[in-house]
Order: sequence, then C-alpha cells, then structure tokens
Amino acid sequence: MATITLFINNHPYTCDAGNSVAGAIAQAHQQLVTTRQSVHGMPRTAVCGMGICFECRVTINGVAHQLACQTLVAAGMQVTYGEAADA
Amino acid sequence: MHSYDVIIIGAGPAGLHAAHALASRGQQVAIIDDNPAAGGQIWRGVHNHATQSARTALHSPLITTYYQTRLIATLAAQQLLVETPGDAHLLHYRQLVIASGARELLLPVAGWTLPGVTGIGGLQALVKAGMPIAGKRVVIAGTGPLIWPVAAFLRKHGAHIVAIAEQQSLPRLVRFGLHLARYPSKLWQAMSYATQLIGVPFWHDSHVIAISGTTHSTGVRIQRGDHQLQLACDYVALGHHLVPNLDIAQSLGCATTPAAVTTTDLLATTVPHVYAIGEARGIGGLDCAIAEGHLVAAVICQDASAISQWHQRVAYERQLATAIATTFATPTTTPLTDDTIVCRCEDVSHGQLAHSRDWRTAKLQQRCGMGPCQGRICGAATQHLYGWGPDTVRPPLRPARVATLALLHAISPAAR
Repeated sequence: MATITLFINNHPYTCDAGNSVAGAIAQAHQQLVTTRQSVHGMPRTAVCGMGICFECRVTINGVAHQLACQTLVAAGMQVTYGEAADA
Repeated sequence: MHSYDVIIIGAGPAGLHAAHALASRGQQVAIIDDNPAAGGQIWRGVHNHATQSARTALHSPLITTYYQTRLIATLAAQQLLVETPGDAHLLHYRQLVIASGARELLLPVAGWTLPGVTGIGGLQALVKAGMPIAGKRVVIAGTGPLIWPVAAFLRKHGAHIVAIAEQQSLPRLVRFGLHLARYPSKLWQAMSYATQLIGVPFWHDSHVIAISGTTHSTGVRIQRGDHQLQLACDYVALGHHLVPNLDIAQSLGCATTPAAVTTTDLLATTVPHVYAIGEARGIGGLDCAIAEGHLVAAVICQDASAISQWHQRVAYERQLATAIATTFATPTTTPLTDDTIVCRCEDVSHGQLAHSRDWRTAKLQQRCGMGPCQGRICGAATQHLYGWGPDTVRPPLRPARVATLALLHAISPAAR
C-alpha cells in the first residue's frame, strides 16, 4: 500500500495511507499512548475503535475534537494532542 | 435538497446488501455512514472478505454513498439532516432503512479508563487501522462470540494472548456450541478459531475485578471460580457482547426494546416508511444481516417470490440470534468500588450515582451521559448496572457544527 507522511505533535511520521490517525499515533509510539486528559485530569485514549466512545479525540489540522479512530491519515496532516495541542 | 427512493443508514453488510438488491430493481438509493469507508465494523472497508454483492453495490450508478457522514437529526416530512466533514445536507427519502449496526457493551470496572484498556472489537479495529500488536501481551475478558475471532486475529498478528476470561459457565457455552451444530458454516468457523487458539488459556466463569497501571494498563486481576489471579499484560480487551444502536430509530419515534428495534416479520418498524435490518433488530451476525438486506429490498419493491425466499432464510438465521442472546446477552458485573468511573466523558463515579434514581436524574444532577459520546457508553452500562431505562432521544444525535444546525432555517418550521 502507498505510504504518506503526516505530522504527529510536529514530528513527521510515515505510515500506510490506509491507517487511521489512532493507528498511526499508536504505531509512532509502538503502543497506545495518552492522547487526552479527562475532565478530572486522568489519562485517556482510544477504546472502542469505531466512533462511539469519543475517547480518541485529537486536534487535526487545527480543528479540535476530531475522532482519531474514524479519520484516515493524509499527506501533510497535522495531528496534535496534549501540550502540543494547547500550544 | 437531495431526494432518494430509499435512504439506508449504515454501510455494513445489511445496508450494502439492501442497497444492491434495491438498485438491481431500479431504486435510487443513498447510503450514509459515519466511517471513512463502507463495510461496517465486520468488514471495515469492502475488500476481498466482503461478498460480491457488497462490492458491486459500490459501483452502481443508482447508489450514492455518503461516508464520514453523521446523522444529526431526523426531521418531519421524511427528511434527514446530515453532516459531512466539510458540509451539511438535507436529504429526503420515500423509504428509510435503519441498518445502524451494533456497538460493544463496555461495563465499568476499576481501572477500565486506563490507556491500554479497549473493547474487544475495539482492539481489533485499532490493529486493523495500524496499531502495532506483535509481541504485546493481551488479556481478553468479558463475554460474547466476538472473543474467538478477535483472539485468533490478534494471535495471527503476533500478539501473545495471556488468557481469555469468559464470564459464562461451561454448561452454558456447551449449550451454545450445540446450537451451532445446526449452522455448519458457523460450526466450522468456531472449530477453526479453536484450532488457531490451541495453547491459549481459556477460562470460563471468570470476571475482571480490577485493572492496574498508572498511565497505561500493566496488569489485570481476575476472579476465576473461587480464587483470584493477577496477570501482567500490555492490553486488556474488555467487552460484554454487543448492543444494537437504537438512537436513530428512537429519534424517529420507532418502538424499541433494550435489545432491538420492534418490527414486523417483514422488517417494518412502528413508524410508516421506516424499516430496520441487521443488528438493529437484535444481534444476529453477518448472515442474518445479509438475509435481512435482501428481504427489506424485496419488501420495499413488493417482490412476492423474493419475500417468501428471504423471509424463510431470515427466520432460520434469527433462531441463532435467539441462542446468542440467551447465552451472552446478560453479562454480570463484579461489585464496583465507589471511585470506579461509570461515565467516562464526565468522570462520574459509581459512588456519585448511588443516590440517582434514574437516568434522567443522573444526567441532570451528575452530568452522567452528558458528554461527547452522549451516553453511548454509560447509557447501556447504567442500564445493566442499575436497571435505568433510556431517556427521550433528542437532536442533535451527534456533536454537530453550528453551520449544520443553521441549515434548518432553510426549511419551514413545520418540517423541522
């Protein structure tokens, strides 16, 4: 499959074009990592993988609260979460 | 405004087969789905696994597909308000087919909010979407027929399955196995999974008590019969079978039970021009969904011979659905500690909900179910934990942009 390069918290990362943003973030870190703090500051990330739980939301191309599990990666896409999203 | 003979909500196997059968009878069809591609949760994209009909459907000039499209509101005069990533549309239908599928029932347990704890189908979906699993230690726990194919899939992709902990008792599972004997292809499938899982510890009568870790799950405590064990792992895939997605049907005013949209034998809901097929009619699996896709098209086009053929097939598949429900649809929960989170969106704990008498009170006083998922996780969970029924479903059905809602001004107040 073709590969693309996107930016995850400003770092370039190359992966299969068929991956979701959630899949790409996990791949870049070799595991699921915290991508969101809950309202009481607890670490959270993707759970349902299918657009139900809304736990995987990240900022994509400057738009907050996008579902990483239901968004496919794209060339040049800017994905941010955590402190990088607040900056 | 775009207008179609039939709008199908959901591009899974049921929806795709309905679309194909409708288009082959000359109907103009639109399919809307919130995922980036067709195929539903079982196929996730229409590749080699999908049936020929499903693949053909996507090339029909009579079928329009709306992907990454969320249904925001069901309106009067047979209209829908939908939102795409960059736009919003009003769509008009003569007939509406709800093929909204199912989601996993995720029941709270201490530590279930930690990163690394996913649904069972959830973990499979994430791995299919690029998440690495090779060499990771995975505990699969909960209940349901989904456990087997997912465990086999994960193992094939290099995961180390530490254990499978199924809540149900052995006699119950054996009875389910006996039902499968009447469905040779499914029995064959089950045996194939069992072969692929040789050497993986499988425990019945087993429940997760707590998941440990600070920023990621690192272990899980399991009650197995009379004793407890602590297992080290990287991921905990936790799921308690499936629940149908009913909010769209409820928004339209269709009668539902907790397990299904209420329909006639010929798939008509209690609202004129609205049909329900597949998992929305109760969890029945792939073959059932496909048969109901065919049946609904025959019903809408009044094709008597096809109705009779597919009605029989649906009846046969629905018997297995009954066996699935009898075996897996009543998961049990271990007693929760007061600080266990129940509503993940708003961080509402079991202790905080102790004094709420129903779902509405919990929403109003504790904000339970008021976050972005709109109760899709904790609503089903509180139904199982506390016996709370659902509240009225109100638009917007999903978080929506203001520009989308502004489109409502384009139509007369009576039609909103």
